[in-house]
Amino acid sequence: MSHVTLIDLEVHDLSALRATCDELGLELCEGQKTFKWFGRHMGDYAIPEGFTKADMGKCDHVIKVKGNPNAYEIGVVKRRDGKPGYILMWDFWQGGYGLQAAVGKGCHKLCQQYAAKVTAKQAQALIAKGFSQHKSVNAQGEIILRYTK
Amino acid sequence: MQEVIITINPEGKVKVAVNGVKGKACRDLTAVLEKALGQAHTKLTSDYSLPPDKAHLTNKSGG
Repeated sequence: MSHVTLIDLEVHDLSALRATCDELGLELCEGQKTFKWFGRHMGDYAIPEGFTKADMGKCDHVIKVKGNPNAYEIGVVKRRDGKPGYILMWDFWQGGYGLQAAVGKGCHKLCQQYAAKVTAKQAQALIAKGFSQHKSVNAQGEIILRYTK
Repeated sequence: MQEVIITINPEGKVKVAVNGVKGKACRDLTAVLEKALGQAHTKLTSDYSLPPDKAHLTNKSGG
């Protein structure tokens, strides 16, 4: 073995996020500056670094659940901690009235599918070098992308 | 055989493992992918310190 890398996922690629949304029955509304949530921060959860209560509900883009106008929405917000990319903000009270069912608890389903999408996109460089791709999902629900040459 | 295995767990955390690629080439193989995914924490294994294959060296000096 040559190296192993563990990666804390960050959202950098809006086109991959859009493609992921399409697959999960969501809609990425680029340029929409507010997202639907309870409307008042109750102080029971930490606010992300660089943000204040006044920033809650404001964003750069919005992810909506298609066909469910009552569902809360996800704000896609440029990071303010000096790192590139975006963070995802959402209100999970009452399951976000259908949001959590679509994106998974903790937004995990959306994040996993986004990571798979980015991986497949970037791995085109491996395929161009003669690697062949095999995709599978194991019993633990892990997506495994294997490239061999 | 050269092998890159990317495992994405249900929480969206990603593990990238490279097998059978010696030397610095193993990092080069996945550097762009890892940067696109996020904050990487890399552990190098014993093969990393081995010299690249002779054929690879020939390509470099010839190219």
